Amino acid sequence: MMKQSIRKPRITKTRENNNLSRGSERLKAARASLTMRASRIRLAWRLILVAGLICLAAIVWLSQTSYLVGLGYDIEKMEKKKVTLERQSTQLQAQIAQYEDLKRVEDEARTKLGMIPAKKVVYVKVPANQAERGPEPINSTSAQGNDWWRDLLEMLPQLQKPVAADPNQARK
Amino acid sequence: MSQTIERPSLNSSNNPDPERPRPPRRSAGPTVSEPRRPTLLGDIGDDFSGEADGAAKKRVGPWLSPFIRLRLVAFVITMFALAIVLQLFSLQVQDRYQAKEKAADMRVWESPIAAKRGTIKDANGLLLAANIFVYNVYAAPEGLSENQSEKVAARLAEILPDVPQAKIKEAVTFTDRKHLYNLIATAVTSDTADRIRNLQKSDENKLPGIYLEPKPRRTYPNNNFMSQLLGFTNIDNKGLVGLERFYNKELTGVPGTRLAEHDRDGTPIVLGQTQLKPPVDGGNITLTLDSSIQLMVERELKKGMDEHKAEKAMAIVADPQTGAILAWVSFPNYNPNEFFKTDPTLFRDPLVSDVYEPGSTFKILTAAIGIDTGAVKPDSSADLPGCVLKYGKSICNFDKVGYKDQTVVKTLERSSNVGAMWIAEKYGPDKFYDYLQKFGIGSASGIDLDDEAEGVMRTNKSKDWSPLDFLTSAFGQSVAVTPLQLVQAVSAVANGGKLMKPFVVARITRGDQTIFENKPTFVRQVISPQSARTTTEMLVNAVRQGETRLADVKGYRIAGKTGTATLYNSPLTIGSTIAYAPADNPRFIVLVRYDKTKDTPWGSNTAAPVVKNITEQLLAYYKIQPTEK
Repeated sequence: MMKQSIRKPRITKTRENNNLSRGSERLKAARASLTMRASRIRLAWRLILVAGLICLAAIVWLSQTSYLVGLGYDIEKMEKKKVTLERQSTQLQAQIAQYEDLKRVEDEARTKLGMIPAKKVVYVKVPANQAERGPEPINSTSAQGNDWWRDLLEMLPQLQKPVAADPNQARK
Repeated sequence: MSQTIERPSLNSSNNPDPERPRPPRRSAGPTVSEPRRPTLLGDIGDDFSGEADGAAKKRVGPWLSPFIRLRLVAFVITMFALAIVLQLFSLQVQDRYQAKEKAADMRVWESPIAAKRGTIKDANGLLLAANIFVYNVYAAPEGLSENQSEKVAARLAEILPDVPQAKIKEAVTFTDRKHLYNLIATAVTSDTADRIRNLQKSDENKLPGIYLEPKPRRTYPNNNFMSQLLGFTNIDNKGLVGLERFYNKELTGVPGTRLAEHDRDGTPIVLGQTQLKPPVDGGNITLTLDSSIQLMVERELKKGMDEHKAEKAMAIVADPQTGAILAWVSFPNYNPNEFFKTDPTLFRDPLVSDVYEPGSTFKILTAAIGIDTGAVKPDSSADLPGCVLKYGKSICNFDKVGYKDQTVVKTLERSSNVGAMWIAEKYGPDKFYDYLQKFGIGSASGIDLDDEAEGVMRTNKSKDWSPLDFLTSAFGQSVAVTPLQLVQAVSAVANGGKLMKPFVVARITRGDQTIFENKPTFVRQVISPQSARTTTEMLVNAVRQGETRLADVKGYRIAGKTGTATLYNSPLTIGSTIAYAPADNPRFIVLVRYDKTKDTPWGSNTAAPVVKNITEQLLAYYKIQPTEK
């Protein structure tokens, strides 16, 4: 009986202990499962991130590749165009040379412009010091005379300046 | 609650209740009545038992049970898969290099990149030989319908009137795969090619299946101008004659290559493997010749040729100080753009390849040798008859008139053959031939032109030489020179005794880089400057008072000499005149020669006036002031 009486509380304690241990185990299990779940989620996110990065890299690579391929075709087109333009250039050079043919120029000068070859060449002796100095500049005012419209032009310097400043225009 | 929803396990070992009767084992056979389990292959449970009933046998055939058939199919598929794997192994592993090469051959190839042929320009930059593109017209008729072929043929016939319509029709009609590309026309001009392109570019391609293949071709924009000097190239742009041939290597350049991966259309893939070896374009040649002088000389020479009805006419203008050629003219010439229509004998440049007996112009050298050796002086004199008998042959002056106290000066002035022999006899054949060789007679000048003749000169060391050769050589017979050799030799007298190597190319450039420059080349001192000056004085006198007076230009000191050489096979002559000006510091030397003139045989009448006209214009061109009134 004594044994029985003594045993009973032991059994209770064991059960309690068991319950406690079960509780703690469950807690541990819950914690572990939570930790595992969290780590799984982290892993999943990492995988998603890696996959995303791979996708991104692939997209970038593909876009760059396609861009480069496009550029390659553009280069090829331009090279073809360059070749065509070079051909046109050589063709035009030959055409220019035909127009520059001295016989043709001479014929044009004779027939269209009525020019004849210079038969007499006159050499004018110029003193050495004057030859070095060059010809005297023509006096602009004396050459211009007293025309009233020249006075008007002089009053409009902004119209005269560009003509004098631009050598190409002056040539025209 | 949990027990109520728990599924009973089929596995006996996991049975929680050991008392529960086990389900009968399958090995117990069909005697145990158990419902048949359906399988993926249908109701075939019994067939696997090996004890198939008669009904089942009837259903699957007498020979092959479904099991065997299934295994057979699996075996065939496995074998097939194995064959594929083996083939893959063979291709990918065993024959990987061959396969790789085959694949590479299909998409990687080397395309040649043509090098541009260099141009030829004159000293002023005028283009004399240029490049253009002509086109070959091809038809690829495979995709054309009959209706389309007819339309294309009709349109092409309008554009290419020189090509027979039947040929066009045949080319644009598809017959078989052996004739996928048919050539319709070659060397079509760029204008015609543009017309074809314009029709193809229109909204509706009016010339489908027609392709243009560009081909570079040489063109000579000035046609006959300088033709014999320039020469020409063949259809493959290889120089055949003249400068084009001599400088072919420099003009051609080195073609490049591009090894690249190509797409289906043959377009190179930029990202693929590419090995580019860029072409090296040919050098651009700049000549020493001046087109203005050339044109003037051509004009004057042609005028004289027409006036005297000469068979041939030729002229050289050179700078005696440097040896640079300034004009190089010969008639008849040809149009190098149409060389295929030309008599091939005209391709030969007579100024450098043909020799002739120079006649009295050679007396310049005879006199110069006499002065330099000290055998004679300008005023050395002798009584000379109009004709002399030498070694059984009578040799006369052109007018058969003899003079008393004939000096060396008068010999040149009167162009006396007897006088020339007298001078030569004073120093003898050894010195004569030695000096002539120093003057470059009998050897090539080394000009940068093809097919240069060395001339013919029998010296006293030659086997077939006779003393008569020596005597007649003194007045320019029995010796044959090229016009260029004579110009080179007389230039040595003009410039103070220096023999200069003649040249026609000033430089060769590629882009901004000069890859070759021809500088004046001094060959040797032939006579002393003093002897050269003395000889020049005598030649000035010959122009002013002698037979060469028609070459005189008022106000200037011109040194020169005319010459008339008889021909062995014709009663006609070769008349020539050589002169340089200003005599004291010559800027140019002019040689004019007319062959077989009909109206007058004398060079003093045919060539001398032309030399005068040329000299006058050259003096004006170079702005050389007159030195005398």
